Amino acid sequence: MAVPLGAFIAVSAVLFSIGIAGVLVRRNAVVILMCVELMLNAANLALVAFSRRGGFPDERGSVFVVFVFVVAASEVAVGLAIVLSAYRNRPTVDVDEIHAMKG
Amino acid sequence: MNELLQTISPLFPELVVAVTASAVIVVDASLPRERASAALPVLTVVGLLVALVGGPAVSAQGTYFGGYVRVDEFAVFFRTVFLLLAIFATMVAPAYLDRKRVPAAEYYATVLFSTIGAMTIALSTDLITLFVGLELMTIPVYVLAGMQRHDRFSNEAALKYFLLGAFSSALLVYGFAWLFGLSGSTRYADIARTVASTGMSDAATIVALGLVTAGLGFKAAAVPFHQWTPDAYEGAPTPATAFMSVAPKAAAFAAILRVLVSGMGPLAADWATVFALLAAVTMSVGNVVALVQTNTKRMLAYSSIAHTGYVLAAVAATGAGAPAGAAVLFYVFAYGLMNLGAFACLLYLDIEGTRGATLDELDGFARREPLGALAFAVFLVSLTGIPPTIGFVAKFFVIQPVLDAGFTWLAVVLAFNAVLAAFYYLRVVVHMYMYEPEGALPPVVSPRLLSFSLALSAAAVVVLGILPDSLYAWALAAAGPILP
Repeated sequence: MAVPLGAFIAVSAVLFSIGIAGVLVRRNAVVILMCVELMLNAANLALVAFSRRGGFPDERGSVFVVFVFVVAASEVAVGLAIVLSAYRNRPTVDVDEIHAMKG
Repeated sequence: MNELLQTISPLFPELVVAVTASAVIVVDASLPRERASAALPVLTVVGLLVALVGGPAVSAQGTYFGGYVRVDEFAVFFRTVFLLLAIFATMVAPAYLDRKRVPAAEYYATVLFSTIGAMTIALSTDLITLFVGLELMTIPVYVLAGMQRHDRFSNEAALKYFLLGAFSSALLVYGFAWLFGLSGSTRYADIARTVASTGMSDAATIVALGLVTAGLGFKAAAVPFHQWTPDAYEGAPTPATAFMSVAPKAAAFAAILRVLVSGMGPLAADWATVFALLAAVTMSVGNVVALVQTNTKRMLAYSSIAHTGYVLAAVAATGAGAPAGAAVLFYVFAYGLMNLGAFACLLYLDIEGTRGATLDELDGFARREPLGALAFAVFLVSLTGIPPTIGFVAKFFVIQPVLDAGFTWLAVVLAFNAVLAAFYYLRVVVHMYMYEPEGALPPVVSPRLLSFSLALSAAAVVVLGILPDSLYAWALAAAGPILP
């Protein structure tokens, strides 16, 4: 019994929405980063699902996913380094408390 | 061997820049500190010049790598823009990097890597190439913003830029996933064919279009996706601000032209009105908020948002055909030249203990640093859009297609905004030339290389303002592959 395409897409839409809600609601920089990863994985899920079940001539969507992995990994590396160097100057990861500039 | 060379030759400029970036890191590690800081900018500029001059000779036009990459007039135009901006950003930086103890090799290498990403965007024919290029362009810029690791403003700039940048990339990828789901392909040409037959009837098309617009809107700093811009620009080290205010924005417009105008072109009639509204809101918000700023670095950040609005107006006018595309390209070129120059002028003043330059700190600047003040005045006059500068010509080329596409109201908003902007740009000129400082003259540093590159680009701003024809003809040819 094959799972229908719609089910995959529904799960990916839910993941994506949780990710967006998390980015907008949470104030911890590391948690926001995790929510962004959730959004990227929602896109990955949608790409793989469309690629396998969309009835398209090739599976280019699956190739796209590999590139998204690579980019997500490098984004995390840079992101955590930025969070860390901010934390060294001022021990907080709360984005509401990091607001020296205004206007 | 010959075959290999032939295969990679279309990407000659990108490869040269990549090799230069790696060489910068190796040279920095193998030379003592003082020798390295003298050698690195030379190495960087030479690498970029080789790519700039050798590119057109070696990289023949055509489609390569299984159709993922296309070298056409559009790509060549943007390559030239990005390479020129990288050269400019390298030449203004050395003295500042020394003074503020910013790691120089990392600065040059990240600028170079980011440039490769930007060039890849211009070459893309496929969502995969575009996405990889976009991230290769943005991720180094996050690093660039946070390069002063011990400065908490720089930390904050990098953190905000990174979080919103990563968020916008995620929106974009999800939009791309839907585009793939709709058309079964990641090629712009296939996507265009699909959306031409389905139209806007499909809810999925609207979702995909919305996500892609939001994602690219963040990268271009269009209102309401602009909140990161002022903090990221103000907090970043000034040469980094100069670079990141122009190259990523130019790249975002290259992406908008490739994905929206050529990939989603058949729906242009539907999204053009949305873009016209975005353009009007973006330029108005940018200009109004810039009016009340007293810190010039922050003021220029808001003004860069306003300029995004002007370019978006040209994007909205795609109904007018090739002149609209040419207007985008010409404006991006002009904006890069004058905005990078304007931020670089603040390098004279960026002394320990100041955050950008407040208007009061600019009092008497013309007496202290006549050449720098003159260049700054030229850039500001050009940003305002007063003849005989390139900024005036660029605005002129935007208004024509906007009228032809039937957005008369948008042309009126644009003209009104240009007048509004004159107030805060010219206020800086007045402070530099007419006000006397209360105490001593402001302390400045005037590195020769900075003055030289500013004089060169200020001259280009004026010369291209008087003789824009050949540049415009080139922009028109470059817009051909996007908007026939």
